[in-house]
Amino acid sequence: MQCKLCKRESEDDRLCRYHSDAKKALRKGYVTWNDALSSISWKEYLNRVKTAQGTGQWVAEVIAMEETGDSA
Amino acid sequence: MKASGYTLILCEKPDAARKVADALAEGRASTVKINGVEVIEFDRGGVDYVVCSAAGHLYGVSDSFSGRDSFPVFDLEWYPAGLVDKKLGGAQRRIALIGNLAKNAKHFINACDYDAEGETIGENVMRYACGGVQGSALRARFSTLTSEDIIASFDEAKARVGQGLADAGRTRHVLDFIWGINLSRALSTAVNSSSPGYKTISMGRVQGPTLAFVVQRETEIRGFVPTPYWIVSGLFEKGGMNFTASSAIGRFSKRTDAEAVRNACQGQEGVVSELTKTVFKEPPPPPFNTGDLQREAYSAFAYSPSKTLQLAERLYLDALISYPRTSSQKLPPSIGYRRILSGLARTSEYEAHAKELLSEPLSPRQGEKNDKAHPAIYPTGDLPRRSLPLYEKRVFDLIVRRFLACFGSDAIRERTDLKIDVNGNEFRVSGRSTLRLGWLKYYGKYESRYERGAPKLLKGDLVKVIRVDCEEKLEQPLPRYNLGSLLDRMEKEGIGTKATRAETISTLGARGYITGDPISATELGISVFEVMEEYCPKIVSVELTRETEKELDEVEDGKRDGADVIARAISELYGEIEHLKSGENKVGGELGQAATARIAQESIGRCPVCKTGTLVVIRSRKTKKRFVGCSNYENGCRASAPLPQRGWIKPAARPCSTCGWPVIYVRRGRYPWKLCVNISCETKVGRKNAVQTLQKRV
Repeated sequence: MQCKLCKRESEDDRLCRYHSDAKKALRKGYVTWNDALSSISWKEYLNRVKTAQGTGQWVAEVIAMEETGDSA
Repeated sequence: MKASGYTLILCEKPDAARKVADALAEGRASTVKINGVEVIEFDRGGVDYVVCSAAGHLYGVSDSFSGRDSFPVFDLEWYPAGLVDKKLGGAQRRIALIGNLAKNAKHFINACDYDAEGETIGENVMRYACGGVQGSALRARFSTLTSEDIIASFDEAKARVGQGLADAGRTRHVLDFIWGINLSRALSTAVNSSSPGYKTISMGRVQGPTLAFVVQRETEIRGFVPTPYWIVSGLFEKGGMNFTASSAIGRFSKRTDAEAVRNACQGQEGVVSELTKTVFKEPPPPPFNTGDLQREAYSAFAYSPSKTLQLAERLYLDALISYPRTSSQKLPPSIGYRRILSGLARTSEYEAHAKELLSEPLSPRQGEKNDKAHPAIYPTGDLPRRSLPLYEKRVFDLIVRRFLACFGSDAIRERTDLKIDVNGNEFRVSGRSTLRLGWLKYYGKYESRYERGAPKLLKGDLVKVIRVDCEEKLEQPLPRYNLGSLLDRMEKEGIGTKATRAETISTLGARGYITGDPISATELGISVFEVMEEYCPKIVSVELTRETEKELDEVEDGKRDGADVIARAISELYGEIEHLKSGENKVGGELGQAATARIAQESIGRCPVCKTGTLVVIRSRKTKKRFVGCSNYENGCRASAPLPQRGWIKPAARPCSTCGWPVIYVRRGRYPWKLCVNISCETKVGRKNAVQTLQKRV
């Protein structure tokens, strides 16, 4: 099966290993951001990361997918 | 032309041959051209000499030309370079000439560059073109092309010197060929068996681990999620002087903690709780070896490592600097420090510094790395006899200043650290100043020191807090490699040689695996790495390549036989190739997709002729030149156009408003320019006519 985002071979969650890792890093990052800012909503978090300098291309693609609700 | 009984001298390049002849003949040499190849003859002390040059490798490794899809291939021979590579047709002519000259020669002297490549060139010519005289031929070794060095090297020429280097060089060529041809054929066969069209995917022995460095960094960057942190800094005032100090905690991982410090310090008064001054010495940098020179030239002028080496090679052939392919960071006294400095003192640019150094005892800084063949890179003390182009001038100046700096005394610097206590919270500020320039004054604009004065305060001084800021920042991923840092990593990991590292990076770029500077991995590069990592991880691992390099060093030292190293490499490679073959379909599918995507990336727009195909950038197999052609070529569309051969190309958003052909941006220098690819576009015809009219008027 192909990755929904890049046509590479996908793993179990319909994402390739790179996008899958990016998705895991995004979830892990939320815990860090939530702790650092005392509280932040998931939506606000995605918005901040999306526009932040240094956000990786694969992370940005996962965010775009999350925002359209087309979650893998 | 001398009849017979002469001594035949073989040099690596025509320029070097001329220098050697000039030095030995003392201006009494005569040059003849035979079949377009320069031959110089002269007599010296009653002995006749004939000098000729190889102009690079005249022999190359190849299989028995069995067809380009068969693999594994382990049965190799050395062939004349013209048979291995059609572009090197001139090599045949040169081999024939050297063979004829050798028939009438009594003695032979190999005067090629003294390193593994030079030894390989010399050994092969002596072995194959001169009738197997490699054992009896004398070896002239020199590190500069100055007359003194050349004469001394010929006076001291001995037989069988550098045999280890020659063996290591020949073994390296065989290994690189075996690695390259088998992996590339395995990968290309896999791709072509599972996707339409013919695609070449290549991989080499040093390319594998180098690509791994770039791809691993690329995946870290692309998968990076920045996380926030905070920095607290205060603006302080004392006696009308303002200065900034930062919280000693450094990075706050929680906003509330940072805000608590800010709130506790706002509007308070601080006291200087600690003041320390540390004086330290900064020793001069070691002399340049190849890698150091390439890194410094990249940082000073943004020259690519291969360009720097090319420029340095030019300076070497002009006898302005010593041999630039060296690992050594040492300058032995035998190079003649005083003679070189006296030579440099003849130019207004270096006169003052050179004279100053000459007035004191000379003892240069020596680095740790050594090279048995050559010392570190140094200026010969000769001055340019031609006006150097800017590129060469810059590299020459850098080498001269580094050489001067090596003789300088330590720079003495002072670091001042202040701690300020504000309501129990510590702030820090520091400064650095130079007390004595030492070597820094010789290195001039190339030194990059951090200079910032610390506020003039004493311990116990009270300071007013004007404002405290709490600034949110985001963690950044590691930076991408640039040409300098990638070269640095290769050197640290011990892969490749000083002479080949820059070329390996260029090859990865030419294959479309890496791009730009800073360097990013392309989709194709990532896919190739993925496949290699899954099916033949040893090929992209640093360990195997490093191990092979160590073995080659042992061959160079005469401790190991080259054939053993090749046999071990074959057994390693055979297993890896078998793995690759076992997953041929999967490998082909993955790589084929990436290779096709790369072709799509190189598309510059819709074909205006057939209106169904796309115009893509193609490189001619025959001429190696790039041009634009239609993807519908096989269906009869012959739309094509030439392209600028150098520079980066990117399609513009809109096609040409006049002719409808795609428009591209071409960038070679700092700024890109726009160009309609259609050679017959009316805008160009109009411009051409205008130029012709103007020319007629003039």
